[in-house]
Amino acid sequence: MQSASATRAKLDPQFYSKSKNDPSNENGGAPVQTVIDLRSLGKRIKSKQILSDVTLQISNRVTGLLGPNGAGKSTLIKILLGLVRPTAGSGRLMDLDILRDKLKIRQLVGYTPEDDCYIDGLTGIEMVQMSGQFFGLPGREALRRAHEVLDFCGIKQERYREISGYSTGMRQQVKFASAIVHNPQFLILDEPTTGLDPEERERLLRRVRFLNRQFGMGVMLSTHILPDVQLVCDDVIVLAEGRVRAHQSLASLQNVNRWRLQILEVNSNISNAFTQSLRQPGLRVEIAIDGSWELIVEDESRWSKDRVAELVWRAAGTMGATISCFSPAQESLEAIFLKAIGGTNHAHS
Amino acid sequence: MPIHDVGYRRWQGTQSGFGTRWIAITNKGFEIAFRSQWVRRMMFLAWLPAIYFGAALFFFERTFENREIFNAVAELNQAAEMAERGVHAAQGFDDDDDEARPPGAPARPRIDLGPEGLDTEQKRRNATMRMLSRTPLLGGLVALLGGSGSEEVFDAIVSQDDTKLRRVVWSWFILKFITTPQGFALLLLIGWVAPPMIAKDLRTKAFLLYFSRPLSKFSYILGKLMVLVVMCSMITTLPALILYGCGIALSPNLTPLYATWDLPLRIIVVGLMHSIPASLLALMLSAITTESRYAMFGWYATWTLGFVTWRILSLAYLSQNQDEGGDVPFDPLAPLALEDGGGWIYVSLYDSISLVQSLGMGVGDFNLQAQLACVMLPLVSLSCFAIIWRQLSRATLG
Repeated sequence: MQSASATRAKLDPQFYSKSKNDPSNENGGAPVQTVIDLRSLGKRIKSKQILSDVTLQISNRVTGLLGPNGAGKSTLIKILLGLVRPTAGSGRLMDLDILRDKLKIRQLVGYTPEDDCYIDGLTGIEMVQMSGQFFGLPGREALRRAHEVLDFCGIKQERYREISGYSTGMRQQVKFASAIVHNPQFLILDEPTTGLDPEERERLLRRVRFLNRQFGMGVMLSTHILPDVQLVCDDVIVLAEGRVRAHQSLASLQNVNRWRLQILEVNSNISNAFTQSLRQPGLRVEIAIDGSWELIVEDESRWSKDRVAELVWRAAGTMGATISCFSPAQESLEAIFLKAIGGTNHAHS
Repeated sequence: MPIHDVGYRRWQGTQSGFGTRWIAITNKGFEIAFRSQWVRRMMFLAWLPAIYFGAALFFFERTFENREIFNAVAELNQAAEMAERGVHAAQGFDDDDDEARPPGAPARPRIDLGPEGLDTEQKRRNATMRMLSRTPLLGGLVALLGGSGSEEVFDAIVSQDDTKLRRVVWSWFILKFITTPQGFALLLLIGWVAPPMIAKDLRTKAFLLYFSRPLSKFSYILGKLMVLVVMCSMITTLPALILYGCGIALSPNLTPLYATWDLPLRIIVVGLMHSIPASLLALMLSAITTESRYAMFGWYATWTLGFVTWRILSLAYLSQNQDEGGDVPFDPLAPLALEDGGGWIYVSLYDSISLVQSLGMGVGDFNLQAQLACVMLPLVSLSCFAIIWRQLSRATLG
């Protein structure tokens, strides 16, 4: 029996966009666990080192794989799928060895390639059905299931047209449908929003989020598009020059213990006194370009969120200043990305 | 439009094993191929020769029932042989002595009765076959068998062994059907269907969709190969089996079945001997380019050039043999027997396959040419398979 929330989710598209911070709804009730475990993975092609010492633990949440061109993202994905053999290290995906259990891994994983690829001569429905058959679904069952996932992906009558006549965006949708036809436990999406218009892009990302939240499907989203990551990802991996530069939850990456503070109608005397009262050991005050204050916590053990707030309210009360804004100052993903890759490359934002 | 969109649901059914996933590729490949009107037309036309061969087989059986012609041939041959011995005896020449001659001992000069320098046995054979070819019902059959087939038929007639004769005629007959009209139809059909099979997958990068699924490279190649093998079987093995079945069904008794019981199995083996190397060659040509027209050109060029080259080399060999005083007659217009040609058969895939097929039907000799052909076919097949494998590996890595 399916839960009431799952039934509602099917019928109500708004449900797709349910807050990602709602813990009751996280991973379809499935506990967060490590799905991919890579140890010192390396790949060298001739004299070029594509991947070096990649050690990662990826959970069944939505993980964004970021990196500039040539960072080794696609190679890493191909290694996970057993299409490319690593030259060093080892790894397991859902407790299966990536070197030995290639077919078993592919059975459990859904993958949409980055390239604009399709099987010529097939219609949309035939391609999804064939994909289902590759995953071991019997012919008729694969056809039924293909219709079901194409409905889910919003492909209507066009499913009966030859796929060679589809737009890039529609092919992306069909590729996505082909990847989820067998109900995979883990989904690897390589640039899934390329060629989609903003509306389609948002719908696709909602579907990704929905599959993760409602069905516990782990997702790895390789992309250049940082807003996509910001929209759906729980964790972020930044790859650059074949190395892992950052791997953390998106929230912790962005949270740098920085607080933004703005006060109204303040003259210079009050301002100086206010600044003085905020300057405490383990707490740094900086004045931003727009005139607002930034409180940077240097000693987290001393300055909790509540203590910082108490200090700010007390200083404002003493000085008679009116606080118009007091909020966490998050670092943008682009800034994090550029910092992680060392500022040598640029992401498309 | 969905009547009721049920959204995404979990699927929990029984999945088939990894070993059978290639069947999906074969089914779909077959479906795609048959969408072409030209393929359907070719398939239809490819069955027409079966009518001619069916009629010829029927007439052979009718003649066989009457038997007079075969008895006459055997008696004529016996009489000619006795007359020849008589002439030899009159000239003080003992044939039995000659046959018992120890190896290395000098041969006594034979009497040359023929103006063309042929020995008398060859003349008898030729005369008999000419006689048979003038017989209304058997004329077509003799013309059809031509070259080396007629020798074995002649031997079977002379031996007056009904089982042997029936077996030899049926075997040659079905072999000719498979190698000549069906072989040609097969070339045309594969040349039309196979070139886009891998080339298009490379062009549209479909291999990423195949190999990211639980499908090995071997399964992929097997799936594609089976499309062609099944198609070849539909125009060679299947009609040949039906021809055989009709022959047996129309027989007045079960004697033909007793004489030819192993032919169905041989037909299947012979069909595979043609379809597997040819299909692998076609797939290999398709795998080395993204443009299917180049693969198509390569396919027809390979067969045509091989066919023509072998014939030129064979004629050159025969001509040289004649010049050096050999006993093989040189006739540039005569149909070439497969065992002629001085070991050049490996240049022609068509003739190599035909020769191996004749061995498969149990009517050929395992001579040097046959040995070369037997080595060449697996070699070609394995090389083609290796090239396809390499191309797919490179494409996946890219």
